[in-house]
Amino acid sequence: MLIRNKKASDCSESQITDESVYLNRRQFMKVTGGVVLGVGNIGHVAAALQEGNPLSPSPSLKSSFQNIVEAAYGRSEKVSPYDVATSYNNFYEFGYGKSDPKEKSSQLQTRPWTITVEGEAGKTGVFDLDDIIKESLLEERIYRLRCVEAWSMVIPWVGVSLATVLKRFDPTSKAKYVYFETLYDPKQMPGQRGNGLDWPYREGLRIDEAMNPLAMLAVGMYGSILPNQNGAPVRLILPWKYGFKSIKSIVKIRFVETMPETTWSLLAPSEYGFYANVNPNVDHPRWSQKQERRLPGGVLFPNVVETKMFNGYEEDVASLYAGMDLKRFY
Amino acid sequence: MAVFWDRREKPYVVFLFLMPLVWMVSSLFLGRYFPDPGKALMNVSGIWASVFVIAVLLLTPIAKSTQFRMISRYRRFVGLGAFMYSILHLVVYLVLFAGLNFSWIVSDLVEKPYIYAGVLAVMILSTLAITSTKKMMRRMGKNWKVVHRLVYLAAACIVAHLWLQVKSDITLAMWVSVFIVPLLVIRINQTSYYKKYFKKTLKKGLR
Repeated sequence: MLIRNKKASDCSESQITDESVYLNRRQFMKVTGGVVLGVGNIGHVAAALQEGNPLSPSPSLKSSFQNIVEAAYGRSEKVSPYDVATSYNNFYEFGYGKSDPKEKSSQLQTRPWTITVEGEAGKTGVFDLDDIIKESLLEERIYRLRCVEAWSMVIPWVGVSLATVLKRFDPTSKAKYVYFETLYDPKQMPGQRGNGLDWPYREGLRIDEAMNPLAMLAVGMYGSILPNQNGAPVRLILPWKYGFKSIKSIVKIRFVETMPETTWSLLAPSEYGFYANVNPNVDHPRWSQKQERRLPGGVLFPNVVETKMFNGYEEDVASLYAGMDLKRFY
Repeated sequence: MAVFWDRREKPYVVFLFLMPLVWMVSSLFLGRYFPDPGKALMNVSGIWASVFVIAVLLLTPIAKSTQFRMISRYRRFVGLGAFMYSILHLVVYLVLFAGLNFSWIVSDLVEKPYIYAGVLAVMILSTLAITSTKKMMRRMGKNWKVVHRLVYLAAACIVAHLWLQVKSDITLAMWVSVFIVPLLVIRINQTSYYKKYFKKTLKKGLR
């Protein structure tokens, strides 16, 4: 199933984990982590599973997570350690601080979880997330995640192509855009008790962006389910866009005809656009986007990496924006 | 009490002023700022630079209005503390945050207004630190006071530096402003120099 094609978006040799370290950790994790988690087939992820307590999927989902297909994306990337990816998050529903999501998200109930599908589609209604997962063959894709704040990580996500899921709802020809919404429940999400953002968190994509094979609906990471702080139980992953587009804890999908309003572009339209494509040539008004700090950094020196157009996924997505002035449609 | 406050306490005060630095360096090496130490340390050092600027602005009003007159002799000490933490903040930005990446730093310096405000504040504090010796005081005479009033501009720069970079969390900018703005406002009313200046501009404005 694993097809290896060296693409322009893949990383250079220098970014690859040292083979001996990689194999040792991999072997180690096959013996310990794999057994503990009750999941197999997590070879690549194992290299990054250093600390922390990875979660286990519920018994009914175990078989889905035991049959994860390794997609070709990012196989040569050096994956960020699990504890970094799960302790340094932007998830304002749980607070502004980077450690708030991990510390304050334990109250979030992620099962059962339903997604309401509305709008210009043949099949609308309320769908159980576990059913969506069971109907799908889960894939692992290693993607670079570039935050608009100029830091980045490499994370092995588990999920399905967004297009596969969206097509099941039979969107009509009027569905020009897709709108997504995060759960709004201040009881479970303490950050929503303040009014820093206009809740609920809203995001949107043009339908062709949503149908691009790179777009992913993630239900897991590092071979198992998503921790709450990472957007459990279901979130988008759009690796060519800044992280804030990858909306977390999705409860609503609506197919619409006109461009939907999105949280960040409502709050600061001059800083965060609808497209939010990673673009080193268009700076944020207050900081440069030409470089990024790949996390984790060293104690005294950060790991500064040049930011690539569309986060290095130009080959896959550039055609979506052919003829568009990306300085205007940022 | 009187015995203690006879300048023998100075080493202890210096030690106290260095505590935040000790805390920051130990936190850095203990991994408390992991995984993005540059960003975390940049915030903490900036906060401490602001705290020292606030402290130096507080000293004079407190010394004037209470029996704690001896604290006014710490203006230089506290001011040098502000200078030290502002330099630390700058170095952390250059090395730990931007990794001495030349193009990153240049594009920040050239294009981002909130950086100007910060750089100006550091430049002012450096000037004041250099001219803080008794020798310089003597040499500069009357000008010394005029130059050292620039600390008010540095404080205003800190406020601007913080507000210009608010994303959606205004907590820090709010807290620093709550302290600095009133401390600047009381000085507008106090000094005849500023009174005259304001009367002039007001008259101009009314015309």
